[in-house]
Amino acid sequence: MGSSCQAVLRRASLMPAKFVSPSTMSDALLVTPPVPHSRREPLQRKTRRNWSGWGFLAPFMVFFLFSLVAPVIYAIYLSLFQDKLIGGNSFVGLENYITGLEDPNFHAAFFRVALFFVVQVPIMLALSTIAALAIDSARLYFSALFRIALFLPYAVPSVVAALMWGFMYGTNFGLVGNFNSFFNMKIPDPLSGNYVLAAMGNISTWEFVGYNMLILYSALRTVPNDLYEAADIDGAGSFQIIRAIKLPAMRSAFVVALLFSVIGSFQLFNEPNVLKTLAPNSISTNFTPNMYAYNLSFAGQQFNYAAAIAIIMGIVTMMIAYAVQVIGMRRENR
Amino acid sequence: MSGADESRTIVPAERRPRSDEPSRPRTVPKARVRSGTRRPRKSLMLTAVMWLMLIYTLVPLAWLVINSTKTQAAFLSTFGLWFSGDFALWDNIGQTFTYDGGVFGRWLLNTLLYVVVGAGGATVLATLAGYGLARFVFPGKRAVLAIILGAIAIPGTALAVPTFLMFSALGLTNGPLAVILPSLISPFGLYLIWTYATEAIPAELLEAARVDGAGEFRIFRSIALRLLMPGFVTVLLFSLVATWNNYFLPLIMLSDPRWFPLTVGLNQWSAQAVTAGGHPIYNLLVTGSLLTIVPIVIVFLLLQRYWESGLIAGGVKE
Amino acid sequence: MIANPRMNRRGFAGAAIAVGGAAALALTGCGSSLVSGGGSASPSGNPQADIDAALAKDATLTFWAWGPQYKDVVAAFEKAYPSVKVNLVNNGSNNAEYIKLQNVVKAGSGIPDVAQIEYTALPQFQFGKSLLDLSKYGVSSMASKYSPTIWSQVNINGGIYGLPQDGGPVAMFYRKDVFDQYGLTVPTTWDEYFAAAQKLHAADPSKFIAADAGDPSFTEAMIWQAGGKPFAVSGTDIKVNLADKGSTQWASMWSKLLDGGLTDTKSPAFSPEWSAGLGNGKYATWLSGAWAAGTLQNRIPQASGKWRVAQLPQYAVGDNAAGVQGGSSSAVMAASANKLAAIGFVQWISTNQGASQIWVDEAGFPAASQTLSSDAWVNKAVPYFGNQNINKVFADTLNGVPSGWQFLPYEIYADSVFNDTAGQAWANKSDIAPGLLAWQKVIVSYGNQQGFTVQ
Repeated sequence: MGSSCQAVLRRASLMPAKFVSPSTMSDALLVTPPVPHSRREPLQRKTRRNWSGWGFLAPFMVFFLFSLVAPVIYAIYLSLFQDKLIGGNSFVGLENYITGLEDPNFHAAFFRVALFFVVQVPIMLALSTIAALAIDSARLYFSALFRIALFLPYAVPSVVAALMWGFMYGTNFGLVGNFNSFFNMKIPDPLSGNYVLAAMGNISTWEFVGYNMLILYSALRTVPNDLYEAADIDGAGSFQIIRAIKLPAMRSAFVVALLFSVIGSFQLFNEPNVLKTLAPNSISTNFTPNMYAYNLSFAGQQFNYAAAIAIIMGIVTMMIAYAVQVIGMRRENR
Repeated sequence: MSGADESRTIVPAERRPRSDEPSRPRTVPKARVRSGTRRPRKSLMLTAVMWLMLIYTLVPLAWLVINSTKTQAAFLSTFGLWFSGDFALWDNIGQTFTYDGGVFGRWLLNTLLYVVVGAGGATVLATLAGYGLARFVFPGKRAVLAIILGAIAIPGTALAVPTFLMFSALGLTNGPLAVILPSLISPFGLYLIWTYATEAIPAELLEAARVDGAGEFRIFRSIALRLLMPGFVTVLLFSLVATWNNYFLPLIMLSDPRWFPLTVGLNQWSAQAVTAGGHPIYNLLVTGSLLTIVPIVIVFLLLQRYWESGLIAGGVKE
Repeated sequence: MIANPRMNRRGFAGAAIAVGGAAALALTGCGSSLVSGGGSASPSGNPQADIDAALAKDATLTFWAWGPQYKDVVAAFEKAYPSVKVNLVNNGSNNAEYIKLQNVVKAGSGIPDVAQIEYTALPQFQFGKSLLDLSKYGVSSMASKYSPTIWSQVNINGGIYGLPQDGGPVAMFYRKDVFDQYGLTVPTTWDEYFAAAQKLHAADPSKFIAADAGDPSFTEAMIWQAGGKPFAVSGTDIKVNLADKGSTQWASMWSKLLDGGLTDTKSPAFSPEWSAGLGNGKYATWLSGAWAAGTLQNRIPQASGKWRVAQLPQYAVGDNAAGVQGGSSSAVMAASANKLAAIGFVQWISTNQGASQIWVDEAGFPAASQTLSSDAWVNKAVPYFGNQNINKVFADTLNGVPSGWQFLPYEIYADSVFNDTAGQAWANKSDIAPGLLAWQKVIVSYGNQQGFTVQ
């Protein structure tokens, strides 16, 4: 039975967590596969009829290969060509990738989402952690209400959320404007160049605080009660309990939440795209790498280059996610 | 808010009896009652802090509800967080459904179709596959894992164009299949079921059934599925939300507005307001957004018991 | 494949009719090729007769358009030609529709028969060879039905790639009540405009002479008025000069307004904020194409009676120059399976008297010269504008448009990056000329990258 607590926590770590902008179902899940607890199950007992496993897996794999793998392969193929308005299609090898790596537009977009990640994600995860701890502590009145209400924004489509916030950010007749005129405040225009990234960070935070909170909260719920009893017997104060029991319990879930936030931040698209019509000069066509790829494809008809950009982003995202996971897991195993 | 056993605590593995009964959904204890010396005090200050967070969360939704009751003219001229003189909610709802030949209703039906087939299908596929991955060892399993994890790291927006080109080469764009096929893949669902199945289905049970001569699928259907039910419902719920809110890929794939889901349709109304010839219909946009959110919230509240236990189940040992 | 049986039936019916129509055409001896690219002239030698014949047969056309007037115009067409059914589909406006159109053309499926394409985007689609050259169907003879300015906009490299549906000569819409309130005189020159702007903003800092967030079509229309010709396209050779005489003249004039903070740069056109501002008098003028009259009447009904129309301010007293902003044509896609019926359709909606009447009644700007010169239209007193004969102003404006303007063969892309480059001048309230140069740089590099020779 071994280190039950630690194993429990490792289980808890395998929770899926938030996506900043879940554009499709294909957001990444870069965690290690679960290791089934092998107490009483010698290996050969599970080696059952080697191919029947495929029977269960096959339907999923068929659609997976078709809807995800094939487009990726096609995207890689596309990225090796160049299709000009004049001169048509031609094979250019890695030229698109080189152009992409040197492209200042791409750099700007990349650093912007990196900045977004570095600022927005810690704030959001901090809020989620506080909320999870608060709800778990049983010191709240109506804790169930909080659980549901904080989770609600996740049910709102990000397009609708961006539209709503876009309306509210209006400095003439939106909420900001109302506050300015009714309460004589001077709130700056959230959609102006200096603040627009923060405005989007706000929207993302609003959307996902509850979701992350729930992930962390679920991890907290798995802590066995005798730990708390032991702590009580030792006379530990609540902050000590938090530090010694609850935070470690959340650590793995936290790492996973962080992981998905990395991926989501780098894939930011929906919010800037929707808000662009309201703030065309603040939100450029290369505001985020995804937007850049989108506009390259559709406004500029440069599908090949866009595919190269996307693949570069995919690789970078994978590398960073892997790094986060390695660092996170290492700390857990310490 | 959760199910039957309000005060049941979570018992660590050493003490828990083996769970052989498959059918009871695991519920979440309402409050942690420490069977020890202290009962925690309810804290007013903590509640106040959390109330701030709650307000932050709910204000935009309140804005949405309030502004759905305003007419177009009032929308532009009254204070955002309070009602205007007229209560036009029913009017707005009626107009939302009749505008442009009732296209909103059409969008609603489309979304239902995509959700039922897409989310339902995704859950079934994920469950089958998760079970297979959890309980069988077969050649190529590692490779499968690597491929799945690798393919979903690439940004979805980047895949939109190749997917679009691929689908149009096959003649699949501009119809419901363009939306449904990609939404049948739920890597998250696969993962969750895999974790859940590993934990919740004891190999001995399967062994016994096999010794009795039952076929693999029959074993799955009658034994494993019941044990997996909370996880199944969890995946179903999350797939429902994801397909209901699916926006980007349908935006690219569909050029016939009659096949739009609600998200893309609302976006079109929003874009339409920003054109030279267009009539601004902000009140319909807001009301439409509200109507889009309501069904999901209801489903959520109804099924959240399963959802919570499902999320937790992966963290509780047998 | 399609899950919903309702749609399946309709799709089949449509396809069946289209096939039937094509078969019928074949039977009548019209061998016009169904292959994409320019069709050859009808072998019967009288294309108009073939077109008329096609309209008498069963056909289904798909028409992508976003303008609000099309609905009734299409309905009237179906009444006149009961055997032809038209599916009007709104796939977004301007760029949103063009992007979709480009996508379906590239994919090769889902292409409509007819599409509403503004004059600015027409060269791009023509260049991509996705439009039918109507001159091969005898349409060139229709030139007399339109004003020369408007006709020149569908005339690319000698071919006719769409039939004009409306036009957008730029005029000045102004709020009479605001002008009266602050004692402003209606400006006739740009210097007077600037003076009025200063006086207004000084008297009330919350008001502006105009909303101006930086818009490529407006910029191009203004450069056009100043006599600039920044884009010279000949085949695959393009010369871009956004610092030519006209561009510089406008840029330095307009920069004065920007520097002085006299325009509102925060509310993009057609945003909710902008609508509110037009309604409550925050913006004293709106410089825009003639179609704006319809927009005002549709969108800002609360300001009825307060707006008037005047000629665009000029650079020198007594001039009569104007640019063109917007304006759409109806183009037949080269991949259409119902070419003849489609041509007949666009002919009808473009020049038929009944169609024109509907168009004008719904506050559209007509392109047909018959309407443009008709007494009823020119002397129409429009109540929204205080019973002013606004069309007279537009008619005069149309006459003053300098000729020889060209758009880029990748105008859609250029417009999409305007805000990234030139738009920053508006964001920072700085000089426009460097912004235009930044825009020029991107335009040139894109063009060269795509295989054009651009300087």
